[in-house]
Amino acid sequence: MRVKSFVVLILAATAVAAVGLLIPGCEKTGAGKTDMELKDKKHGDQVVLSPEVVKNIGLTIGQPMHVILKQKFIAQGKVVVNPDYVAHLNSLVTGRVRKIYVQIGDYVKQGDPLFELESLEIANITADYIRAKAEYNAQKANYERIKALRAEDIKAEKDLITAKAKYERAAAELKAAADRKLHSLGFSDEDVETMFSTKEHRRGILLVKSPISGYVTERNIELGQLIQPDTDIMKVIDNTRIWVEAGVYEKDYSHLKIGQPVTITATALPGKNYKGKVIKVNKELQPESRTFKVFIKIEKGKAELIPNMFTTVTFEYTTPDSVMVLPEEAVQFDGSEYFVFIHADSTTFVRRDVTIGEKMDSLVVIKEGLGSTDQVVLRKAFLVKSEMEKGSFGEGGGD
Amino acid sequence: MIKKIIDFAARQRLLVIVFTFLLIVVGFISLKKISIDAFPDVSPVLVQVFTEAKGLAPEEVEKLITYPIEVAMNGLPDIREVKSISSFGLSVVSVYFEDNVNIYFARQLVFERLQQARGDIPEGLGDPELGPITSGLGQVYQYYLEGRGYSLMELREIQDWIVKFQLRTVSGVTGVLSFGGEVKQYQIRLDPVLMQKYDITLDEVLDVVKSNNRNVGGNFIVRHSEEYLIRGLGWVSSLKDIENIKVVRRNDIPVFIRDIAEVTFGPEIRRGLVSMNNRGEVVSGIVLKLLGENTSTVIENVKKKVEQINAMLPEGVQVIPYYDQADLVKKATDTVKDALLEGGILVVVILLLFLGDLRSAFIVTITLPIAALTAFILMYYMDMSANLMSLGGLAIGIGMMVDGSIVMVENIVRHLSERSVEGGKTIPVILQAAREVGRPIVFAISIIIIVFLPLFTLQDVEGKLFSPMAFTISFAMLGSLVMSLTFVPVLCTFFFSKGFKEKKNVLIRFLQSVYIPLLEKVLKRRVQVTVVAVLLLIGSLALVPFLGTEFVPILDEGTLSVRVTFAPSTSLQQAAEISQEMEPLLMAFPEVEYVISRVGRAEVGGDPEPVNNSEIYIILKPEDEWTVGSKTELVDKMRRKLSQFPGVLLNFTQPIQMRVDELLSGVKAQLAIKLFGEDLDVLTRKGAEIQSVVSSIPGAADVQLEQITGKPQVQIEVNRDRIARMGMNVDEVQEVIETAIGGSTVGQVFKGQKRFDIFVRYKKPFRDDVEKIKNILISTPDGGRIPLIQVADVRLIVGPKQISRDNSQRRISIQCNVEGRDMGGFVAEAQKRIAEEVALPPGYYITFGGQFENQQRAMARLALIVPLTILLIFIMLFSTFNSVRNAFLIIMNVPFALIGGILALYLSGLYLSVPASVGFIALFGVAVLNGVVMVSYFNQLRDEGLDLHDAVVTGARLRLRPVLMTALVASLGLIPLLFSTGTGSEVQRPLATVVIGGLVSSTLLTLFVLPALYGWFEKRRVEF
Repeated sequence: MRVKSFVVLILAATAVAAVGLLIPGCEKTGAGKTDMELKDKKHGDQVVLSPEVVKNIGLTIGQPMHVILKQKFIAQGKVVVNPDYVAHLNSLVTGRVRKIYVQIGDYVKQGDPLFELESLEIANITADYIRAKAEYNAQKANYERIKALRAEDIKAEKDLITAKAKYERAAAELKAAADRKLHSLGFSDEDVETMFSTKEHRRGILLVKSPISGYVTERNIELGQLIQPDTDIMKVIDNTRIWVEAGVYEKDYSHLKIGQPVTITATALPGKNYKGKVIKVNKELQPESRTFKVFIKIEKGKAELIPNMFTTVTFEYTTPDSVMVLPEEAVQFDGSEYFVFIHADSTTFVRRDVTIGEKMDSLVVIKEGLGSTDQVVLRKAFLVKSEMEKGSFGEGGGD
Repeated sequence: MIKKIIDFAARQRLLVIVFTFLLIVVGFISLKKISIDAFPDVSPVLVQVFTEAKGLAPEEVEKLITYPIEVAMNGLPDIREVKSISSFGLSVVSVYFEDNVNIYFARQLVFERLQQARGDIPEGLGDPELGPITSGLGQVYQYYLEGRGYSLMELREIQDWIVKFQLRTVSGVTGVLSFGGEVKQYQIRLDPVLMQKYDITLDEVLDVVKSNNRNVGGNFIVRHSEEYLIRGLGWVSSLKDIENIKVVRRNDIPVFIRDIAEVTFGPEIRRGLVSMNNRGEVVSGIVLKLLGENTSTVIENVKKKVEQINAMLPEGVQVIPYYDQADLVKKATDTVKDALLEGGILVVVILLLFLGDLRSAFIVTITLPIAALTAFILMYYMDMSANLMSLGGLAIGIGMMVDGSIVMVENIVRHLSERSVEGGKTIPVILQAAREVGRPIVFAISIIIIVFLPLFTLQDVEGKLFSPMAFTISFAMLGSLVMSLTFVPVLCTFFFSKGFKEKKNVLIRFLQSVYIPLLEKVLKRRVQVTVVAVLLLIGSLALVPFLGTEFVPILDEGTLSVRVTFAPSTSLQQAAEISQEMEPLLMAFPEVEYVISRVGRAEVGGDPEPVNNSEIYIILKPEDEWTVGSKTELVDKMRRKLSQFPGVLLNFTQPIQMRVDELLSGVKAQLAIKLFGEDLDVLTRKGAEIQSVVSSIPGAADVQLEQITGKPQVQIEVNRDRIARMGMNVDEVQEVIETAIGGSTVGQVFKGQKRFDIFVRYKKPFRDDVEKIKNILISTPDGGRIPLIQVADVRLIVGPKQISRDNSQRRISIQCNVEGRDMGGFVAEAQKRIAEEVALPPGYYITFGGQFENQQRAMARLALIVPLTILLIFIMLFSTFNSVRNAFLIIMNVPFALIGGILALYLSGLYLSVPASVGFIALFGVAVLNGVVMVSYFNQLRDEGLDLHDAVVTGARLRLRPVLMTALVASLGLIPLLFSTGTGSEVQRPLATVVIGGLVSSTLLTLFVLPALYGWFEKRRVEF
């Protein structure tokens, strides 16, 4: 019995083993296999692509270019008037506005009347002047009379000296009154000349004329307004004489040069741009904006630019010599190195590490690693890189 | 007990008839109600947590979002595994539960823990949501919007706010994912130059937009005894409204949004798009079926709804389906239905031929549908769906289902005919005949159910696939048992009330005249015959290593899909461009009906595909319009065509297969070596080392390293010294990076039900390039502005693409297939070689998994259960025969049945797979039954006093009919499956092949070898 059951067990075990063999193994997914074996062979940093594939995907192959690379940086700015062509008008004395000749926006020529000011101080100064003039005239006559008499030896030398001193003092006083005070107030020589011919009641009135030709851009007075010496009365600017002021950031300072060409665009004038040149650089860094003020002279078309318009200024500079460049698309990056693909023979593409420099307008400067005659993949190099890395990127799925 | 049942049935004949009728009615009702699917759903019990973190890189997503969620999920009951993926802008945490956990309970558990995790995710980074309640089979219906003259943005608006809205109301639909097109946004595109000139900061813009978009309620006032509600209306409702928001006031002059920005409609940043048939981008939607719903009903309802929707859509806009599982469900169930029907007809033909009597054949035949209906009733109450596998169980069992009834009817007929019973006195005879075979019938059917036991114990995928089959077979067998014990005798009393005279059956007599002389010869050369049989067995076992193996054959879904993987750094546009270049190449195949490319991912809740991934659906024309012979050939041609694109990986698969693969393991190969550790660089480096070691091991194929890195990053690192000098905080810089470059949503515009985001970002020309990013201006506290590059270092690196974690540990996987050698040996060698050649830093470790795990698990399980089952059968045989020898003699049929099965597999070129194993299991049942039929009759004749030779020859002659009938009905019932080319037939074919081949050999053995061996076992017969 025992032996028999043993035999039974053995045979049962055989049956079990037989069944065990039939238990399925592992999946061999026909549809799941990748296309590796159908693809071109490759190893390491080399990719093999058939000419048809190269044509189909539109790889462009060529030599690197050599160009003098134009580079640029950008600064924000605004249109300002050349400070030489700005005139502020104000009064040294307290007075009342008697008459205004112009409105904001009027164009005035140099010397055109702007307004009239009526002032007690002016009247006093005028009176002083007239008095000094009278005194001068009197002393002058006296001196000339004594001088004549002295010549005939009628008067003593002492008298002549006294008269001369008086005359000279009167002349100095007249000069001071006329030149310093009247001219300071704004009277011209003719005004002073004609002062005696004008009527008595006009003697406290000052007619202010435009010192430059230009547009009246400010008029802060109304008729009869009492003005103080600190009142800004009017401003005349010549807006044909404009500059652009731009703030250049520290990072760009080293590329800044007097005479550097720039291109200017204005927010208000979309689609237009203006050429200019750097004429002055303020060597002081503005502490709040952290910028250097740069003044730019516009070469053409400046009549369209209005002061205070916002502008964007593009500063251009070039590399000193011609440099080797490639389209940005040609240069690939793997996390640590930049590289390009060299078309080694009709089907082989080899990776070549390069050192890159500046980038500008989708061109990259190649500093090292490439010869001028190398055949480089210029466009769609990304696809070549994908093919090279394909072995390693595996199933990237949503696993 | 059995006799009592038979007696009761015989007494209550009317009751039995009524009961059977009721059974039929309930059966039909169940059949109507039962849910119908294409395949069993093998998806695990899985709750996914999606968190969208706009603009965040994988590292931050992992640290800030994935980690807190994972931690919160630790320690949940019945949890199997927590996996996560952190990729750009999206965190997906998948919580896998044991298969017996109810999905709603699991979701509730996860949801509770999620509340806790929410607190740990930094404010504003993202709000975790549970994924839809669906499974790998859930994407049942996919469509696109046809609308000439409508922009992608308009169509997407229609999709999001009309189509999706309506479809979500359909019962059984758990969600609709919009895919493709452009989501409309009210965009404020800031011009930093103008902002600088007006001296406006980003913060000011964000603040004013937020504080100029609000409706309030002012309660109510009473006016002449009426209540008037007060509403303060301040929502922006148009682009103009946004334009006219004042930002600041300079010299009494307000500066408006319109002065510093372009306000316009624009598309949301997108991570996916859909294009089709060469005509460029389209807007599409994916309908997700609620887990456990009836696929065909859901699709039917969806289709009805789509008709309604189409009627209400604007002129020219139509919802057009491009993929729909209804077809697949219909094809798959049709395959089995046809097989069932044809198998049934073949069975009836056999019955007619062998029984030679219309009435008996009719009685047996009628039990067939009733047994099947019983199975449907039980399936319905067990909440099982009718699908390829469960219906397949019926198709396989069709031959076995009639066994009980055949034995019953045959015995009744024999009794009636032997005793020449007069009309009217038949009932006692029938009853006696029925009692006689009651026990053997119960025994036989129990054996069949027992052989299928191992299938019930299969776990995971194989369990989900094959246990429905075992269930339906068992249910049907149970039904046939009840029928044969009750309904069949009762029916016989009606049909044979006038007695029965057996006519001479010409076929049987002919077969006997061939068989007996042969048997006589065999009996004279017992040793030689036995040796030949054993040699055949050994020979066939020796064939096993030459059989290809696979887990389960791939089900043909009728739709192809190509998964195109691009380099990890590839942009959405580039991926879309190449996909669109592939479309015309695929369309050029005359077999192709449509081509749809789905690049990247749909809305949150779908598959978290990265943008360097495109899934091209290839919808094929019916096979009779093809110009190529087979699908494999077509796939090969397509693969060749598409491989002209460099730098892409192609993976031909099928929509459902791909989704299920992903849900199951995420690894699509036999072996997955997972390296766990902390540092992504170390993982990548060591992973590559392991990859090269594994590649050098003989047998390794398709070795692939998982891509976790390769996504380039522009890193902007704030220089703390420099910002300190400026008096700035890191935040002030970061905010600019976040909003100026990335953009932020600052509010919403409400348009009826629709709502649209208000999105603020710099204009494109100011942020779309590294150089431009360097020059972005940051406001300083002094009121100035400085370029970013002056306070931060900007550099390019290549960073992680996604971070995968299993059970809170970062990992990288190396996957491979094994060809030409056994998996166990390969794994052992790989383990040894990796341990020797790859030095891992402390804290790093390796696990081996993948389908290799499945295999080991299934092996372990079956290695335990199959012997137990055989032991159980042995015990049953022993208890029946009271003899170890007889039981042993019958069990011998099991290994011998293998011969034909293995040979059939070998000759047909099919692989050894789980269905093939199921075939072997079914085969054992029939083989054992045939042995029982023979041996029990020999014993009976010996007991009646015949000598050994006479007993064997007489027994064999008389048992020729039942043995041949059992074998023929069992194998012919499967013939339709063998020749079917319909959807799903690839799973059933190996099974049918094994059973048919095995039955040939086992029947020959039963008829010749068994009688030969009987003598030896008989001679030394010992009574216990």
